[in-house]
Amino acid sequence: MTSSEKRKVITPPRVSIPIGPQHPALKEPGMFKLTVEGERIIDAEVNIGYNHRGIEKLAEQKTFTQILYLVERICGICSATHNGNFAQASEFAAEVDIPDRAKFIRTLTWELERIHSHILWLGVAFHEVGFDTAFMYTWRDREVVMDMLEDLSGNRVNYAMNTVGGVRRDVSDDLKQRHLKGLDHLEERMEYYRDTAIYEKTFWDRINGVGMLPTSVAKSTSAVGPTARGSNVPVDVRFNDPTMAYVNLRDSGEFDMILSDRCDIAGRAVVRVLETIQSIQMCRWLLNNLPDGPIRERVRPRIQPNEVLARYEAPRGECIHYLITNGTDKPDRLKIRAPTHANWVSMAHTLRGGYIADAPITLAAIDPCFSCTDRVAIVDSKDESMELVTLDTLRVRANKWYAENPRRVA
Amino acid sequence: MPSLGKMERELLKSARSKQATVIYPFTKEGLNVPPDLRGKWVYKNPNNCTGCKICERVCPSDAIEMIECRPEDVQTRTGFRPICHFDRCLLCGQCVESCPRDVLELSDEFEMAYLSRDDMVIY
Repeated sequence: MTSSEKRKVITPPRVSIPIGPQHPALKEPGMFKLTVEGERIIDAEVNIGYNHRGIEKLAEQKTFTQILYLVERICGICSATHNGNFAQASEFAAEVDIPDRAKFIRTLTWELERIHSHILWLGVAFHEVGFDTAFMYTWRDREVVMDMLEDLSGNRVNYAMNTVGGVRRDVSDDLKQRHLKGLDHLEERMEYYRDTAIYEKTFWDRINGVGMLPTSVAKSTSAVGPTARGSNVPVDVRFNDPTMAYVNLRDSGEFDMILSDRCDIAGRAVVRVLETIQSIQMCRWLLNNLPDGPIRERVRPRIQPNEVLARYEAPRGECIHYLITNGTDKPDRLKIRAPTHANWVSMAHTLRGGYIADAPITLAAIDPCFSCTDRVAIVDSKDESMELVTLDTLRVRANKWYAENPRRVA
Repeated sequence: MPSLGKMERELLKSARSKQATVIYPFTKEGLNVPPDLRGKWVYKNPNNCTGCKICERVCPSDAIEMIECRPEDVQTRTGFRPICHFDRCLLCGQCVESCPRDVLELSDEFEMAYLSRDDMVIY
């Protein structure tokens, strides 16, 4: 018989668990340092910087048309996002107004991409909590929208639909009918997945109350996209600052921003699922109200000196392209801020206080895309240290350097 | 009746439906290749080429190279014709779009795997 007179309470030691940069669970390189006490995550540190490809610098050496295909390859899932947003930025800089039909087709591509991205996320979320059956089913139905995009643009992943001054391919009547049929099928399926996500206990209990991100924290960490809207922060460029056919969509009065006040992963999941259904309705509205006319406007290859900021609500949040043109056919500077970069800070908050078993779904809940995001890493060859430097730190260092080394005035 | 869960209807439906996958290399039926696919880079109207070099200039990945016309080729006005280093091609189709004489095309051929880079130069 065991004696249980003296009960020993053992405080588990604090252990730091590194996940990544190379880890079987990660699809892309990222580094998460979790400090755990038993099963609880006490502190979390998230690092990026393993996937820097120098796209912004490369963009300075290419013409505007060529950059369209370069920025498209920043990310496989948001290819229409970057492609369309750069085309939009170039048009703002050239101060041309593109035809209405081109605006509608560009928005249609964006919305189809949002459907595919959100269904992808839903599948990943099902997978991360171990509900692999639903993962397979959602990805099967994602093929419908992938086929629609392939039908529309000629490629499954890199759509290359946009050009400076419009779009490259028209929507024929046959294609429109095929798309409307596909959208009907998708809507039926998405309503089913909405019910599965909400009423299936095995999934709901894993995401309910997990990865809390209070509204105040979401605001102070500048979260964007469904991460912010799942915490009841009304940020959505499609409704706050619409461009292209989003103006028509907003003015139609049929669509409203989708918000959730749950502040947990369930809130983010609900926002994404409902947004998918809304996107399907938006696509149908765009196809039914497609205006006639040309699909592109000729824009001269040399764009006048200008400085513009183009915003677009990517599936993951607000994507910003900041473009400086100098009168030649190549830009002076292109700066891209991808949505994951804005959501990165809030991720550490959502991890703290949770259980380690919930870490994968918490990480997945912002729909992270490392290849969109990576920034500067400084490696010191003398002491072999590596340090990730944020923009603010770089700015502080630059100011300090300039204060110590004032410019020589002749 | 005991319920299998939320997805039982789906399970029963899938048990009755036909196979969803295609046994690809043996059959190409059911692949649903769209008619406007941006596939392999080919010449559509080689006789129209003037050798103006626009395709070379717009190519974002430097895949197109202008070579001097060989004796067996169609002789262009400038004496140059484009060849495609297909290993570098992005399949964006900008050359097709920029060509003023409709010389090039991205065909609907989608099998584009080769064993050597030398095989991938399209003349």
